[in-house]
Amino acid sequence: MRRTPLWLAALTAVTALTATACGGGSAAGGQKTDKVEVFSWWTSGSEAAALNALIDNFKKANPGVTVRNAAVSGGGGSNAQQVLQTRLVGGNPPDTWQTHPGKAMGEVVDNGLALDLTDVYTVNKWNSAMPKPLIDAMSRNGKVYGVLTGVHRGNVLWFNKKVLAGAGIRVGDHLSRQEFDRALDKLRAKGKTPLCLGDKDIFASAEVLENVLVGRLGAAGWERLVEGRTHWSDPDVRAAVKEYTGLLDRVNSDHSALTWDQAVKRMADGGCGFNTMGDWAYGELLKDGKRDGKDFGYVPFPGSENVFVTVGDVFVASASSDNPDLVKKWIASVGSKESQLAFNKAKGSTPVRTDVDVSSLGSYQQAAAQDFRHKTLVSTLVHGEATSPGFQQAFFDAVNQLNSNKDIDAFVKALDGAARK
Amino acid sequence: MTHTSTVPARQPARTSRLRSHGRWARLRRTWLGPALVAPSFILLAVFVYGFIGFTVFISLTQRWNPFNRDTTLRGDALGNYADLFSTPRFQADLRNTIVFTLLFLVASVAIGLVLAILVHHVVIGRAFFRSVFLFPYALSFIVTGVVWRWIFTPQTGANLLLKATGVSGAYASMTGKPLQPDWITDHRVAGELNGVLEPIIPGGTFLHTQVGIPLALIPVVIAAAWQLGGFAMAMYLAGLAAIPDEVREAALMDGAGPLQTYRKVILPMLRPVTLTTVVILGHVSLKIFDLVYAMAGSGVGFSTDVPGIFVYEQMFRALHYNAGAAASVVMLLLVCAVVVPYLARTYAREDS
Repeated sequence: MRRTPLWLAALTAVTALTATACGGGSAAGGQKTDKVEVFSWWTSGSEAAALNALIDNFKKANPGVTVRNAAVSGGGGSNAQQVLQTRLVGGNPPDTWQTHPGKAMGEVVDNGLALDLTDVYTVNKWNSAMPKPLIDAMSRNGKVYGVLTGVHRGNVLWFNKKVLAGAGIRVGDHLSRQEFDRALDKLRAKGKTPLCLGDKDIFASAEVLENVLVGRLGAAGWERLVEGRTHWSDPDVRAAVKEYTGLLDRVNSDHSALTWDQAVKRMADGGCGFNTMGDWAYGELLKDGKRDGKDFGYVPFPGSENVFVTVGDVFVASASSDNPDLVKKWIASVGSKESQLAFNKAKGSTPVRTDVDVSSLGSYQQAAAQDFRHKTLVSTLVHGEATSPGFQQAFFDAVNQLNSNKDIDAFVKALDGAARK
Repeated sequence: MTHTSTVPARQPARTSRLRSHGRWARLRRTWLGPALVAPSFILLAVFVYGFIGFTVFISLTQRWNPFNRDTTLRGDALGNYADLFSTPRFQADLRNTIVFTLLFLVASVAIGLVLAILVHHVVIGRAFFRSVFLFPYALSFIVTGVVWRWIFTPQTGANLLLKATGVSGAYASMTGKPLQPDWITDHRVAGELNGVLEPIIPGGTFLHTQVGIPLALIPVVIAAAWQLGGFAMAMYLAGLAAIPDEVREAALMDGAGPLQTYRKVILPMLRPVTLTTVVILGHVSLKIFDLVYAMAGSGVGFSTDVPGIFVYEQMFRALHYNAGAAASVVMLLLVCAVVVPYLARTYAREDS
């Protein structure tokens, strides 16, 4: 009598374990659903509001459809990447997920995981409403695989008006490299930190270097570099890297302990004169109660006036979705004028459609939208659009080494090596 | 129940049962044990050893990743490992792991031993002190990391304290420069050994990082020792409690003072406790990730980077699963290097 329960327990345990082990894979059935699972890393205040704007517009046009918001927070998207990769391995991808255009979505498209969205573009006549270089960045062999929600500009230089006025610096609608240099020197002479940097996450340093490179090489030179037609040992590249190490001597000494938003905040609070960061910093500044034009100002990063570095967010659709028609409706909704306006209003970015009336957006955003329509668009390396994720990581690692040893030769050699892989 | 009442009473019952269902009982005797442990063995085999094997396999492939499950092996079998050991970042990671582990073990064992001896001899509020010192252990590494990051950021915490207490000013009057260390943002490496190591080891200039003690690691060691010092104390308290009073009395009779008693009698008796503590803390330290990630990140020039962060970024950011897998295998081997000798010792003692 006393031993029977033991047997029973063992048997139950084995059965239960076998059941769990086998149950995992068969959960996803083949039947049509009216559910769309939307996967992203948009969980912060403005991001979540922007995502909800997309979801609300989609629901309005498609009543009766449920949207499952599967956003994963933290790590600047790396936590979400981890979850997404696990789900892709397990054969259980979300219906649609967020990524960046260009090389960042390359692996997904090349391995047949993304749904062909060309017909959505044709039906909605998006090919004439969105800039061709950006559509090309989401295409393979003439087929399009993603839709942009909006673009951020990467090459913006922000400044604190009071701090600059205190040092007798006046800034017009742009700043030449010489003027920028003189301004930094004046700030230092006044005992102020010239440039705020917060690179606890190394992308912030990498973004400064990217902006210096774009400013020095110009749009065409930058494209040649990221496509591998120019070597990293090119004298112009070396000169830009030297310029960057010069900037590093003028940043706050505790930069590696700050996050990018803490650096923006320090600039806004008068702790330094300048900060260079993509225009998601704009939302941070407004959130802190700073006024555009009164407390802070902005110009394109010196030397890159004619270039708009695009940091775009894309939704791709899963090729193995249960209901491709519904997912295509989601894609169509993301690209609609209403969604583009509502999303970018909340997120602080620029609509990708050039036929959207932006007069209801903030003054910075209106200026950015004008630049987006008239300047040369180039893609960012720092956010994985211009190069593969592997090269992006190599770039981050090389920048980190450069920050400590200022060894330009080692930097150039490391990236030349990585570019050849 | 006591032994005297059960043993004689059960003996006849068992034999009679054996006789009545002989075959069934024999079957049960041989197979019950294995049947009971089989599920855990199967789970272990699949989910631990199976996946270790899979990781080793991935570490030998060209470019396997979740998007592109290409299982082609690399032409040069151990190529990923060769690449790994030649990257400056991974070299810095290995240096950091070794330096961190050594400093952290010494610090927490010392803290634990001192606290344990103090708490053991304190009569009033022993339970109170024991809990206070053990509290940090209950926190998650992320919480510890965030708080200590604030303390060791140059503009906040410790440096404000130095300024407020006048230590910084007094230092300035002596040296002309205020004492405001860079803490976790310091990227200098103290006691550099590259000049000594490179001529000794054949192959010449394979070092792409400075070999020494990265100064930014010291605040991380302090935070880690603060968190786990209490754990070491708990281990030592148990050890101290297990030492019979007779031993102390005997030492006293032989004329040993308290210091001598500790040095000659108690500390040697605590050696097994130290060994256990070192093994447990050693493997915590070798695979540390969250504390460093929250507190210092990779640091300038990878002065605080650890293999865990490297693996995470190689896999989920760079999609270099093979490099990440190779680094994981190296981490596993490091942990084995600490644990296996301990296990071997324990088994050897049980056998003899």
